[in-house]
Amino acid sequence: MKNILLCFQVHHPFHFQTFRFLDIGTNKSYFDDLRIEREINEAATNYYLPVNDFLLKLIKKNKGKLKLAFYISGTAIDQFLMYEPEVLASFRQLADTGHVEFLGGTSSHSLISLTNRKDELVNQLADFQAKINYLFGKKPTVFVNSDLIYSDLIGKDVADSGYKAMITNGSRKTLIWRSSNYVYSNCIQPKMHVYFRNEMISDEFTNILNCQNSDVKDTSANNFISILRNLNQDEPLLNIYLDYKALGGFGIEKKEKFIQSFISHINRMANIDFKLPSEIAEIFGPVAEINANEPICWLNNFHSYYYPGNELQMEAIHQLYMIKEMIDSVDDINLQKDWQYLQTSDHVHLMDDQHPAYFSSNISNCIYKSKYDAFINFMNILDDFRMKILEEIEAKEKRKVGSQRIGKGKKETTPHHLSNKLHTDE
Amino acid sequence: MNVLMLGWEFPPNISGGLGTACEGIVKGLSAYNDVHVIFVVPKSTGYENSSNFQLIDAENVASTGNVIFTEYQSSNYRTIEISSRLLPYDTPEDFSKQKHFSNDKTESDIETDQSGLTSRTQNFHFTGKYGPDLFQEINNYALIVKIIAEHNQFEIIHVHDWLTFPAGIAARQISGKPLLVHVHSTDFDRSGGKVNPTIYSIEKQGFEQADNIIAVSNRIKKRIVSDYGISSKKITTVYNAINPKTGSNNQVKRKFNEKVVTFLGRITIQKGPEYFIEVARLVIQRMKNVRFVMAGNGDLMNKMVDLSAKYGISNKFHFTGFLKGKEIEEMLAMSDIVIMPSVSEPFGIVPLEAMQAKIPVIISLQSGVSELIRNVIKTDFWDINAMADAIHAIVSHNPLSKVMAREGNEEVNKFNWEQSAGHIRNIYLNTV
Repeated sequence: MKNILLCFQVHHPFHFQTFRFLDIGTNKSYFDDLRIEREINEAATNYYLPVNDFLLKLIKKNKGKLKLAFYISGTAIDQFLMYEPEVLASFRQLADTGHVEFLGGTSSHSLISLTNRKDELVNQLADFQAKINYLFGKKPTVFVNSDLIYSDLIGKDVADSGYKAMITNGSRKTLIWRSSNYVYSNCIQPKMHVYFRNEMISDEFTNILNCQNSDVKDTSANNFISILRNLNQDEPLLNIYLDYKALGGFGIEKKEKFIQSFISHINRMANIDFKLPSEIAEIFGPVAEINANEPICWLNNFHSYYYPGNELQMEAIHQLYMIKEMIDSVDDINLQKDWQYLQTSDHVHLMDDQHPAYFSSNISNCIYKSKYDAFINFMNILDDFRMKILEEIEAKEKRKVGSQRIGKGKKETTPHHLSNKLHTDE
Repeated sequence: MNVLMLGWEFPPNISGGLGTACEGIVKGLSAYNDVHVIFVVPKSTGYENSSNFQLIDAENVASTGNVIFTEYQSSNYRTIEISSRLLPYDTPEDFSKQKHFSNDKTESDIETDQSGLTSRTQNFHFTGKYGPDLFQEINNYALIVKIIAEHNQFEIIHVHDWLTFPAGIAARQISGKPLLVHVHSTDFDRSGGKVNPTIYSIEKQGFEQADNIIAVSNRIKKRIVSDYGISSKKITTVYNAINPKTGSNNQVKRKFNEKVVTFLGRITIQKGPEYFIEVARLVIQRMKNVRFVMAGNGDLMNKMVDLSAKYGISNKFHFTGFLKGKEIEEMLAMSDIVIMPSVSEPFGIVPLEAMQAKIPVIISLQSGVSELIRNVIKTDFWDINAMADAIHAIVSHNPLSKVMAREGNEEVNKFNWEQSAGHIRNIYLNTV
């Protein structure tokens, strides 16, 4: 019996705008709100709304034979809430069919798992679980790390946060000769099951969807089906994990046609089924332990074993999480939000020369010309953020002192005024 | 294959990147056994170092009247030197100011033409008078080159920049050999937009007469197409290069504890010196540990001194005057950042030299070299905020300056003149 996991990743980061060191202390926003809003509006119109509608019909038509899973990043969820709440409603409709599962993650597609701050990791995972539970009515039990990052230690830490299984990329670096089509277990915490994304089939699936030439598309679609037919039936799993964006956009009708024929082919075949990731965890045990000393990951057209990254990236991550201690004593909601959005992995990815953005013909999409620009912008934002935190902590201290004095009967400025004054003084 | 190459300066007698580039090309070509270069250069008597032109061993010097043919034989290229007073970066106005160069030699040059050497000047006419002395000199140079062209065997004529174009055209007419025009800059770049119409017409004529054109960057290629109306089909981009560093890195005593940001180049409108001062002003206002050095000379120097005084940053802003050879190396060794805010830079060799010296580099996007290199920070020349930002970041974040220095150095070490010369050789083969 063969089981297919069909998973889609939905992710949108909060893009930075250019932030010069001259902007430090000027209260300029870190994020390019116009771009973020424009992109999410376009994505909703061209991708999420039509495709979710299509998927809903497809699920109903197949009466339980089609099952899907989604990973929607925390930043994408926040952007939907801000600009396109309808999209979340359409995902909720999918959830209500009972044949769709939402996967767990970090609270803002962050790189927290690459640090040794386990307490923060546990917090982020719990926050995200609660968020998914609130939005879609079910607590996730299978975890997807940002960019599918996985290592032995990360697997163990995620297990300690209560997850039973996680999905990572079937990177050759870790699998070596092994097949991605089995369930494996973490070598430190065997209770943690690991499903590997089948790189070859997932990439081929994406290529066919994105193919513009309809002749080529038809032949490769036929080839693809025959590949599926000839899959080794002894291997229990086939994990197809792709970017949601492959489903929509240009040529959406042809894409829908391909998905439809793919699903009807699978349904016609004996001994092959769609399953939800959480069902797999209940049905299958692991065949072996897997070793991953160094983290692996999945970045479309970019890297499969990328972390810990180059010197600039390591420095940026190091400096970012140095702030962690300070942020804990801050209650300000806006600062906490900024803190979340600063951690999104996309900011760090851009500090690499090989990033697709630097080869794209659509230059206007990227404010940076090189990894150096990306690093500089990030560090400026971090400097400003650090300053804001320090100010806030100082203001908080003064509020405390102020309220104590008021308690003693001395007439002083109220804490509220004091904090306002502090901000304007700076 | 024999190449008749016409240039205007050759190290050490140089006033800019043109001579260095010519030397690089000639030396790069010497790696190919099938290419022989006869390099004709006007002897620039205005230079202090002219007697030191012993870079190449002189084998025989034939002097006829006022024309000195200095023939050098070194591996497989020869240099022929002609007495001339031309400086490649002079404008006609500057040139005519130099009073001690009078017209008297012109006649004797032509005399030479009439005596001894076979002359066919009557077959050859320049259209009209160019007027100022500089243009007269170009004429004379062309006449002399014509004589050289008659007395030497070659299959292609390769000329560098507008001053040699009339000579190249003359040589082409007399020999019937193809003309390859190598464009290191156009008057649009040099003048900051205030184009001299006479120079423009010489350039345009050169481009039109050329069988093939080499541009030092795509930026120049586009310029030749759009502003001179030349078909892009006959233009090929060949980037300049830099030869791997030889000799030891001399230890220079640092004079300041602060970080030093250096502008290295002629202080002319083309190089964007005023943007450098604006950037310095922004940075000095906010950072205590940074000093700025403007190293070079040029017609805007006094203006820049005034400007730095007006902004009250003179205590952290320094001028060195003209630097050469070893002084440039010492200046680089003292620098923590090198910045090239050129408004219009056809190529720009200084960033490559700085990368060789393991110094982080900031360059304007309006430079040809920005098409070639990755491990630098690129900004628009007018974007003083971005440049200030880059300086701040390099000074503040050690990992950034370390990575830029190391990866920049690795990148620049991959370049050499042999590669570029190989491209040029291919163009020779396609042209002949």
